[in-house]
Amino acid sequence: MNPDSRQVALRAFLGNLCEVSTLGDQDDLFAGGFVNSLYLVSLLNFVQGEFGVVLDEEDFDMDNFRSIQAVLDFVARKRGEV
Amino acid sequence: MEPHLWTAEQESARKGFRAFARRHLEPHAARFDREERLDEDVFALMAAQGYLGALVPVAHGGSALDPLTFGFLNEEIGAACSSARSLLTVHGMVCQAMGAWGTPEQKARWLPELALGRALGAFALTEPEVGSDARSVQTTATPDGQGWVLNGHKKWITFGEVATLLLVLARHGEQTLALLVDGSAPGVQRTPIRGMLGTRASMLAEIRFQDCRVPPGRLLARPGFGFPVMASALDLGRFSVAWGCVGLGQACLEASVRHASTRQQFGRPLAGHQLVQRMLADMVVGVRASRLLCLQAAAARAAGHPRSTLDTLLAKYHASTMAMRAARDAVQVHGASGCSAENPVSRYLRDAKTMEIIEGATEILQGLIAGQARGDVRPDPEG
Repeated sequence: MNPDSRQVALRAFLGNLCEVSTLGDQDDLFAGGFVNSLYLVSLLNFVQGEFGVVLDEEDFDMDNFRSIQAVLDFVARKRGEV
Repeated sequence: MEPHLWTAEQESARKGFRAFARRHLEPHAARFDREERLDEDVFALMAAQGYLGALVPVAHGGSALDPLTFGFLNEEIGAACSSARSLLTVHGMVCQAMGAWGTPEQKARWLPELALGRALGAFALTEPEVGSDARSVQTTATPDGQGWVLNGHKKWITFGEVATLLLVLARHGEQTLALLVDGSAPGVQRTPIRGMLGTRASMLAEIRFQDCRVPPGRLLARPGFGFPVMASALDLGRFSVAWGCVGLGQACLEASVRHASTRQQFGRPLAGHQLVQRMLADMVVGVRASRLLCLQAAAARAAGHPRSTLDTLLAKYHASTMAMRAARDAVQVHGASGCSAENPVSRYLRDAKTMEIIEGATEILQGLIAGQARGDVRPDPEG
């Protein structure tokens, strides 16, 4: 899956959890109330299952999941694309 | 019921759970309630059946039940004894958190012990001043070398009296942490809580931590992830409680049908009176509707669907409020005898009230469900 497809898939996933029509890729998911801790777990599961990355202990950093762009950057780093 | 909605293997497992519950729990549930504790045999029997390892991977010695089969386990145990179902819930929450967030070393060390029942898990989130508002947790964890020093006070901890591995939510500055704490560690003081309204054999305790040293390797995830760890465990807890409430509602229904079919008033069975029929009908529909929501939540969980968490909220909200209505009506159908401690329906009513509070009070769930209501608005076909 290329980065553009990931962005589409991630927005589609988040659409199950929150209103994404007004959500920018740089917007803070937590501060904006788009995603709460309960749904962070679903997000982590999605990232692992959909993007083929395995989360290690050091990956549990809120900044990796703070925005759509942060998630995409994190996945790219984990996959050794950047 | 609806056997076409699940497999023959799942139905077989369900029958096994029911046989166990009817033989080992149902005949003793009233005594457990009265004595406010489960027999030690119950822990051993549930461990021997693999029930305590229900959520532990086979590689770590567990039985790794699929979500629906785990749901049936909670339904059948919950129909016989809500306190024993509480054991499945809190022990399962610790197993789930360990499996989701634990390091390979943590999993290798504790999951086999949890699966065998040699370690008994409890979920220590609630404090005297902190209930639904878990973000305001006051228990502190202070770095000490590579470990932590814990100070604080937890309350209403299910099976806190006997648990050997506590999953504790604490705070360090602005960050929350989820720590694994030995129940018998120095600095841990446990005080049993007696006289609860419902699930009275759940062996609740207050737990005080006074300069309790938590060695390295006991932190799940990282600092700052305490609340997500606990939230993921609560998600499992709600799933377990929802299914347990289906069992509780079913028990209310069965007791009411039996009584209404045999008790004669005004020259005919109670079940022949229309106002009693209304209560029986509401129980039938309520139990089935709750079970269907639980089935949906189980399917979403099995598929890893993003709406699994929301589906679980719906199931828990509906099933817990249904169980309360069913238990209230079951007592009403039984009349004076339903108010007697000798009659199981009086215990069902006390247990059902507890279900509306634990693992997310009804009002918290309503807020969370309403917050996601836009997901149920149909998109504009022209849009």
